[in-house]
Amino acid sequence: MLWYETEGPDEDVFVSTRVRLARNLIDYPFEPRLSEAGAKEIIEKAKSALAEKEGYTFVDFAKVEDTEKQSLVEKHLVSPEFARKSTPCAVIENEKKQVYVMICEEDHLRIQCIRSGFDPHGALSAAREADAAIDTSLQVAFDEELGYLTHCPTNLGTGLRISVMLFLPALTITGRIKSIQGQLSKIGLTVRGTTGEGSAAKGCLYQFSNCVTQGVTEEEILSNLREAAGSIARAERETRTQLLENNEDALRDRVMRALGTMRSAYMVGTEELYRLYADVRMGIAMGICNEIAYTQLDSLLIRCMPATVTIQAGNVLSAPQRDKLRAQILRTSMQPVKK
Amino acid sequence: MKCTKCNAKEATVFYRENINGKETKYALCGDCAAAMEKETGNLFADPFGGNLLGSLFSGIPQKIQPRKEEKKCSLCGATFRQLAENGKVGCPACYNSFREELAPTLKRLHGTAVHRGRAPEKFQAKRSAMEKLASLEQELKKAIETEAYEEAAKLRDQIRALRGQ
Repeated sequence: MLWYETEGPDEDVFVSTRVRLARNLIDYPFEPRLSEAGAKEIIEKAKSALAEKEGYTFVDFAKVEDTEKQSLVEKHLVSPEFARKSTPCAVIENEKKQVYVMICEEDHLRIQCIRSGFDPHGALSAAREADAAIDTSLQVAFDEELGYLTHCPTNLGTGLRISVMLFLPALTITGRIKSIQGQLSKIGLTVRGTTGEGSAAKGCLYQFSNCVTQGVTEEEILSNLREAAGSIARAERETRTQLLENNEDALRDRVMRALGTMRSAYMVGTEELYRLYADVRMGIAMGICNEIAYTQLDSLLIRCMPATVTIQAGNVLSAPQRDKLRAQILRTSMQPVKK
Repeated sequence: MKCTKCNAKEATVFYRENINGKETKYALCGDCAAAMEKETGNLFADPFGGNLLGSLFSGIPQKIQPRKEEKKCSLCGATFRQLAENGKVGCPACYNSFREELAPTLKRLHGTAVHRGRAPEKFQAKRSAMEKLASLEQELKKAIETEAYEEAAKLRDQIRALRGQ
């Protein structure tokens, strides 16, 4: 099962937790100095270290269709940069453990684990398992003083980046999110939009992650993040209560209108989908529409993304055709359950 | 709007520079912009490309002429200048080849330049031996201070044995 199809801790505020470990092999340069032959050797080495282990499957990314690659980006399983690559690259995945190792991304190996809700500990443990297998069979670039050596110095040391996707409608509506973003940067955390660096926060979804990777232990990174996540979740929940106390009718109207659109509209674009998603998800969190589960809504958002919709159609779609199919998926999935 | 540099021609190039939070705005005419680009070499650098991070690398003056014998990385052949331009290293060995040159940048990025996190298994054993040594040395210091010489002699033997390994 994919991460968004499973329930996770504290789903009212946290959509997902993603852990990434950057690892590199000694004796191989980074792009653009890495030759095609070198990239293929790295892929073979990673394959011998991991793909034969139980639960891991090798995917040659050169053979994957572009729409499929884009759909993997929409599911947050690979990075957009990785999907755009034209040089040899591969993925070794363990769907059960939700671990995806990108080979020949910016770093030679990027071990990712993505889990539903707030689960940094679970995600890190799963990623470490793949890390240990790589560690024992390959010569990983490590320096006693500097730690794990990475292509970009910003990832040096632990090579660990934990990114949490938060759903913050109340802090967005009240504008409090801006001051929180400022405070986070002071404690070494960075806030980004929904789809990564430089992107806007759609659907009241924000990604925040650690900036510092060196001079701290993995546990310290995790606990710093846990503390910050706890404070944000508290602020969001308090603000939700206040909003509901002061504007219940208006909020109910907003949520039910969004739900109505999802259940009846004939064409829905991606931008509108994000708005509807945010309103209905807020409705679940505020107890306005209890018949819908977070998992149902989160997986619907991903299933309705452009490339993923196209794959479901089985052929290339124009934008209006996609909007029509998206609305159809929404109508079918959001009908009230008959009791 | 007139060019802010020559104050004569019409400004056609608008450029904003942000160095460590200090923002400077330029409105330049074509000639002044070309002159400035020649001077700094990166007026039109992609703000999201390597150059943004490249500016983090310190110790490389703006207008150095490439020397004949520039130091190169032992594995990939990259120079520190190339690292600074890209904001990224050429290969893992670059960190060793340019250890001194990179130190200020790493300190600025991470606050400290010493790794405290996990290490591959083969490094773990060495690391625990180092930690044990540090703790024994601490105990030895304390033993000498409290004039517990018998204990100090035992500790000294242990330290010698550990160092001899």
